[in-house]
This record gives sequence, C-alpha cells and structure tokens, in this order.
Amino acid sequence: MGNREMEKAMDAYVPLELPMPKAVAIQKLLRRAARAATPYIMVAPAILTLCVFVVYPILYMVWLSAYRWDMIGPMVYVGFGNFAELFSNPDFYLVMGNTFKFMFLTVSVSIVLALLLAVYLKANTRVNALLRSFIFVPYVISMVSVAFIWAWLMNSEYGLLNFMLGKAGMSGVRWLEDAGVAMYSMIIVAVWKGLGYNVIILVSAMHAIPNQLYEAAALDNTRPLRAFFRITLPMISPTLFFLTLMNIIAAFKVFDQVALMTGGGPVNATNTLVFDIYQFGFKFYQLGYASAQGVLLMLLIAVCTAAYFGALSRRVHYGGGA
Amino acid sequence: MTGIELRGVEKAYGGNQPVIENLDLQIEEGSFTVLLGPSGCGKSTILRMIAGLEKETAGEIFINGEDMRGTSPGARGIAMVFQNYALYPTMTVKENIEFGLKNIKVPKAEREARVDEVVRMVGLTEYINRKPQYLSGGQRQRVALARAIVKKPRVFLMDEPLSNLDAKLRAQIRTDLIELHRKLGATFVYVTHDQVEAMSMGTDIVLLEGGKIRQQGTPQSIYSAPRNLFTAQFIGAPPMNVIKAEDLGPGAVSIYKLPRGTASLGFRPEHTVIGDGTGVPKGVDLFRGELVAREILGDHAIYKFKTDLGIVHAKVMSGSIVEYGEWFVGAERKYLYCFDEKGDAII
Amino acid sequence: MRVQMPAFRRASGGACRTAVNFLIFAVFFIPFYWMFLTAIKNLGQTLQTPPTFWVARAHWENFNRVFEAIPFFSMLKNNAIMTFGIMICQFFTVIPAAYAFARFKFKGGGFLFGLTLATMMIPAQLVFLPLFLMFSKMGMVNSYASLILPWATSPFAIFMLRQAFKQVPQELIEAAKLDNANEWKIIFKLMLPIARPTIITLGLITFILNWNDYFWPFVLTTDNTVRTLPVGITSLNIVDGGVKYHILMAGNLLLVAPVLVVFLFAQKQIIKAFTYMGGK
Repeated sequence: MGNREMEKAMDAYVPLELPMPKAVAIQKLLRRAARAATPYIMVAPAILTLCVFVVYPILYMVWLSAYRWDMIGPMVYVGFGNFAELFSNPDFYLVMGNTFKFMFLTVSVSIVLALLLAVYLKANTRVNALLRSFIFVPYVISMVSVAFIWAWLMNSEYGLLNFMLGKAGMSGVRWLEDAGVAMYSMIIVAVWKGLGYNVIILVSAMHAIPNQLYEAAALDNTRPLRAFFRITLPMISPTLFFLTLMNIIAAFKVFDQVALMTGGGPVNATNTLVFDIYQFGFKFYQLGYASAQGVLLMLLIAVCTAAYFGALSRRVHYGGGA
Repeated sequence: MTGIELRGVEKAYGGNQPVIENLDLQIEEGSFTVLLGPSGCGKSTILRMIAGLEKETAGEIFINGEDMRGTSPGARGIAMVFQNYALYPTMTVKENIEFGLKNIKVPKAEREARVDEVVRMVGLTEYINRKPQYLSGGQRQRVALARAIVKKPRVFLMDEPLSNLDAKLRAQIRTDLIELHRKLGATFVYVTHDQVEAMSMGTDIVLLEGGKIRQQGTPQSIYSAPRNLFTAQFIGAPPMNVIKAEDLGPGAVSIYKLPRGTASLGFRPEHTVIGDGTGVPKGVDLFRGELVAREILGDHAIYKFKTDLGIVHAKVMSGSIVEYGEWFVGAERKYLYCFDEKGDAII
Repeated sequence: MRVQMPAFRRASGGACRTAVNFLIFAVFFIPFYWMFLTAIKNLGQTLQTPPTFWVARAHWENFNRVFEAIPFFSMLKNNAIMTFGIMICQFFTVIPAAYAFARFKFKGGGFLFGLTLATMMIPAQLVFLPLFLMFSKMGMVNSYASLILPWATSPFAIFMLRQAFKQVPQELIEAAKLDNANEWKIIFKLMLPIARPTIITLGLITFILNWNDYFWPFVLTTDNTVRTLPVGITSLNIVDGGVKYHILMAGNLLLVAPVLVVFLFAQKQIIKAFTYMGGK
C-alpha cells in the first residue's frame, strides 16, 4: 500500500465520525422517547400494584368460583355448580336476608339520624362543634374497640344497658344472645360508629349552601320546615346520594363486628355475607363455594355503584345541577 | 432589526379553522404597544406566541432580530404579567420575585440587591415576607410587576393585568405603568379589550378583529383617522354615531356633498350639534330626535337621542343642561367620516 | 345576617336544646367512660350489681395483666410497621401517578385512570380470599410484606390528589416556565407545595384507617410475631372461664388511647380530612 493510499484511507476514515446533525437527531430522538415514557413510568408503580393486588385477585376469584377445591386435594371443575349449590342452600338465603336487613336498616337509620343531627348541629357554635367532635370519635377508633365496648355494655347479666333498662322498670334484653334481637344490636353498633362521619359530611354540605338562599326564602315568608325541604334537601342531595352509596358499600362488607361480637350467631341470626365467605373459605375450606359468594358480593357492589353513576349522569343531563 | 416582528404567523387549534392567519406585525423596540380588540380576536394568542407559551402553526417570530423558533419561553428575554397575576401561592413575596433569578443561578449577592431594588421601586418593602393570599389585589399586582422587572427583560408582556382591579386602582396603576415604561425604556406589549387602557397608555395601538389587524398606529391617529367602521366604533366612549347615507334625504347629501360610494357616515358624540330647530348652523343637516337618557358627569354630559336614523349620542363638555324632550341633532361637515359599502373609510 | 326563627320556638328552644345536647353527649360519651371505668375496676367491681359509677382506688395492675397476656409492645411495633409501611409506599406510588394523570396527556391514560377509578370501590373484604391464597402459595402469609403490599397504593388517594394537581391554574405553570423552571423544579417547588394540604390530609386518613384495621391483619396473620394491636387485643376476649371484661377494657383503652390523643390535638384537621373525603 502506497503512501497515497494510506492518506486516502486516512481521509476516508475521518467522515466515519458521526456527522453532527445525525448525533443531534439521535439525541433529540432519545429525549423525545424519554419524554413520551415519563407518564408511563410515573403511573407504573400504582397501576402494577392495582393489577397484582386487585385486578388479578378478582379474576382469580371468578376463576376459582368454577371449581371445587379444599386447598389440599385436586381442583375439580364444576362450572356454575357452586352457584347452583349456593342458590339451593337455605342458609344462603338466610345470610343474604341478614345482609340486606343489616344494610337497609343501618343505611336508612344512619342517614335519617345524620340528617336530623346535621340540621340540629349545623350552626357553628362552640357547643355544636364540641358535640360534632364527640359524635365523630367512634368513627376514628378501631371497630375492635367499638365492638368490645358495646359487647360489654350489652352484656345481659352485668351490662350497663340492662341495668339502665331495669332502673327504668323494664326487663333486661339479651342483646347478643337472643336470635330475634342480635341483628338489631349489630345495627345499633354500626349506626353509632358511622354516624359521626355522616353528620360532618352533611354539615359541611349544608355550610356550602349560600345563606342568601335562606334570606331570600325568609323574605318570601318560607317556614323553616319548608325551607328544609325546598332548599336544604335539594342542595345537599348530591352529597346525600354519595353518602348513601358509601354507607351501602360499608354495610355490605360488614365483618369485624360480627366476628367480634356474635360470631355470626346466635343460630346464624347475625351471619352476613363477608362473614359467611370467611367461614366457608377459612373454616370449612370450601374455596370454590366461598369464591362464588365473593363473586356475588362483587356484583352487589358493582350494581350499586353503577346505579349511583347512572343516576348521577341522568341528573346531570335532565335534572339540572342542584 | 430590533423590537418584535411576526411574519406570516398562523395559529390553528387541532384541525380547526385557524384563529390567526398570515399575520404580519411589527412592534418597535421601546414602544408601549397595546394589542386591542374584543374577546376572541386573537390578541392573547398573539401575546402567548411571542412568549413561546403557544407554538405558532406557521410563520416566524423574531425578537431583536433573532428567530425564536425552538427557543424556550424562559430563554426569550421576556417577562410576562398574567391576568390573575399567577403568583406562586406557597412562596413569599420575596421568593416569588427571586424564583426566576434562582433558576438561572444569579449569585446570591446580586440577587439580593436586585430584589431589594425592585421591591423598593414598587413599594412592597414591608410585605416582603408575606404570602400572596395575605395581600390586597393592588399589592398582588405589584408583586407580579416586580417579578417581571427583576429579570431585566427586553420585553414585558402583559395579558389584561388590570382586569381584576377596581376602577380606582386601575386608574392609578395605569399611570404607574406609564411611568414604569418611561423609566425602564423596555418594550411593553400589552393586551386589553378596554380602549381606555389602550388610549391612555399605548404609544402604539394594534386593533384586532377576528385574528386580523384592522388598524395600527398611535392613539391619536387611530382616534382621529379611523380607517374603517370597526375602528371608528371600537375607539371612543360613547362610540361614534353611525347613520346610513340612504336614510338621509337627498337634500342632506347635497348639503354635505358626500363623496361617491358613501354607504354610511359617522361623527363622534363630541361633535354632535344639538339645536331646537331654529337658526340651523351653515352646513349642518339636523334631524329630529328625542332625548331618552341623560348622564350628567360633572365636567361633561352624555345625551342619548332616539332618531328615525338610529341612536345618536352627544357628549357636551359644558354649558346648560339639555332638558328631556324633542330636539334636533346633527354634525358639521368637517367632522363627518364617510365609509363605503365594505366599511372602509373614504378619504 | 341570620334568618329569624319564630318567637315561640326561640323561647322553648333553650331548655329543649340543652336536653337534646345532653342526650347526644351521653350517648357518645358514656360508652367511653364505661370502658375507662371498667379498665380500672377489679373483677369483683366489674361484676357487681348494681354497678358502681366510680371507684375509690384505680386498679392499674389490669394493664400489667394485658402486657402478660399478649406481647403488647411487639404488636404495637407491628402496627407501626404496617401503618407507616403502607403510608411510605403510598407516598411513592400515589404522588407520581396522580401527577401524571393530572398533567400529561398520554395514550391509554384515560383507560388507566378508568381502571384506577374502577378499583376504588373494591374493598378488602372482596379480595381477601384470593389474596390470601396468593400469599400462601408464595409462602408470604405472616409477613410484613403481605400486610403492606396490597395497600401500597390507593385509588382514592390518586383520585383526590389528581384533583388537587388539576386545580393548579395553567397560568402558574406558564409563569414558572417563563421563570426558567424545568419540569422537576415545577414539580418540587410549585406543584407539591401547593398540594401539600391534600397530601397531609390523605396521609392522616391513611394513618387512621390502617392503624385501626382489624380485618386484613386478622385474615393474613396467624402468628403473634407479625400480628397488629387490633388483632392482638381480641385474644383478650377469649380467656378461660368467661371474659374478664376489666382486662379486656384495659387492653381496649390502650388500643384507643393513642388515637384519642391524636384526635384531641388534631381534631380540626382530622374532621376536615374526612369531610374532604366525602366532598367529591
């Protein structure tokens, strides 16, 4: 190879360096790719967590509901067999009856009481603020504490409630041992614990109503009760609506107080859906059957939520915002 | 080439019809240029494109001769005052003002000195450690100004900065801004829909309608020589009286010797002549009108007449107050503006 | 100006209100007083009829019985590990996700946000069975990971924080851009400080709900070494020869006291936090 060729080769070598525009272009491309990836990287931890711990378990549960399995033996495909078994089991109807009774009474009593208390405690005086705080305390403490406090208060021999009934000349009640009463005792405890939340939400919704509306109503000689039904109630109805949904879902998932106060008894009188799922899953190891019940609970919650959003969107379209 | 120049700028959102099309605009260095127009005319969009907050779909924008394409908003040597001030709510007045300086790593000593200077300039020394929520509207406005001034920009962009203030404060800050402009000698580009603000502060007014420049010029030229009906009716309060030429009798046309092609003519309320029907001044055609509303404003009064040719306003600087009833109104020939079918002025 | 009530209602209102106020107070105070009183009674006083409403000498030794019956402090520690573990995880998963959902337009973003919303209504009580099976397959039952990981993010918190980020006016971000702030500066100097009250509020809610949680640690743990306090206290309920209510109430008091103290000092903040939760 001559000198000249060497030189030529050297010359040829120089352009091999990446031409500047190209380097810039690649840099730009990388930067653009990084920018495009940013939102995905940011949502990834949350979305992955949800997929692994919420979405996947739900799918797993639906799949499981088609099998018979006791956790040790082989899994047997039964299709809708678990559901068939479910619907032919008289105990299931009892459990569902209990669940709906608990849900309906807890929600309606809570909402009505909370409305009354919210109207009563609406004004921002010192006493009212203090009482609102007191009502709220049960909400921030553990259901474990609430359940034991009430189990003790409701103790049929030594409990304070029966003592007070006796003082008032009434006979004692077997609050947690009488199959006809136990469910109502559950409802009392649930209402007592959740009332504070409902009250403060409603009070804050009422505070959001412009006072001018009441002033205008007063100038129109509106009576207080009428003002409540024509102004307060319509204005807080979105909140009330939302609160009802929250209360319904909370009632459907009741477990702690049942497990701690009655264990579902006496004779299944307080056995509700989640507690029953737990029993079948963790005590009787009928995982497919328990999963089928889980699917049912999911449908219940889904229907309520869908009804809520359906009604909400209809309101927006036809009703005009309150 | 100094100042700001827009060449063939177009802005469209999505695939829609462009809101601004092929716009050429020159803003002279050191001027107080007001972009004036009704809402939706594109004035804010133009300002935001100059700032780099919105990207033009086509065309070029130059600031001091430099093509701004690909230059980030922070690097354009501009400062902006927003309509709602956009003060950082979690920062104190001082932190608000020095945020921009910190971001370009101005040394602490210089930073302190500059902040100190502007704070004194706008009179906020005692409020320096307060958060914006504890300031009045006027004080917030001044923080926003200080935050712009401290960066020593070549160009100040202001997007309706006075619209959230009450009338009295607005008048005061108007004069403050004029002073500030003279003191700093920087270019001000100011967006407003209020012609009073434009006339009082601007050295150059750009009147916009539907994304197009209808007229650009000094306040005087815009006021005294409107080139079209839109300009004529947008500037001045109350606006120019406009009547259709054909509504005037043939006699009037001959009195006024209107140029060919005149479709409508206008006269400013301050040139409205009010008479009782006797002793008509030479060269004035009066027509019957009923006084329907009267605003006595101390040094002057504004009257609203209902005539067969439409509403006519009169602005009378002094003299006796006109009583409600029937009058004759009109204007002298030398104060008439003539417009053709398309609304362009005939000179 | 307040709307005037008719005169007759004002006159009778005072006495009536006092009575109702007292009733409300009684219903929500007496149960707590009774818990406290029982916690310092001895067995005899507890079972006495008629019950006494005051004790001359407090039996603080009841608390020692609690410490003997359950590994109280290790359970307290477990409670703290679970609660703060969840809070720390949520801090790192919720903030970036909420920010991305609020400020970026990206392909699939709507779908992913919809997914997040859809999971918002799903309670632990719905997925505990499959989750337990998952963890038991991986041999992770009775581990801190199984207590913390399922709650490492919160769709509700993402939703609320996204709202807070969305409410930051666009003008502010533009002003920051004109001030030469880059994306990180905008996040850390502008957005996070503005969203701070929301983040604190969400933290408070997460703390209270998880500190008190009984259901999840109950189904996921069988071993006292990882069990939390709410679960631990329940074992005081199952004592041979009938429930010793004075011991149970002493344990209960220990469980409630920290939350009550926090509530006493931060009640305004806490009530505001939960009000906020119902606001949307």
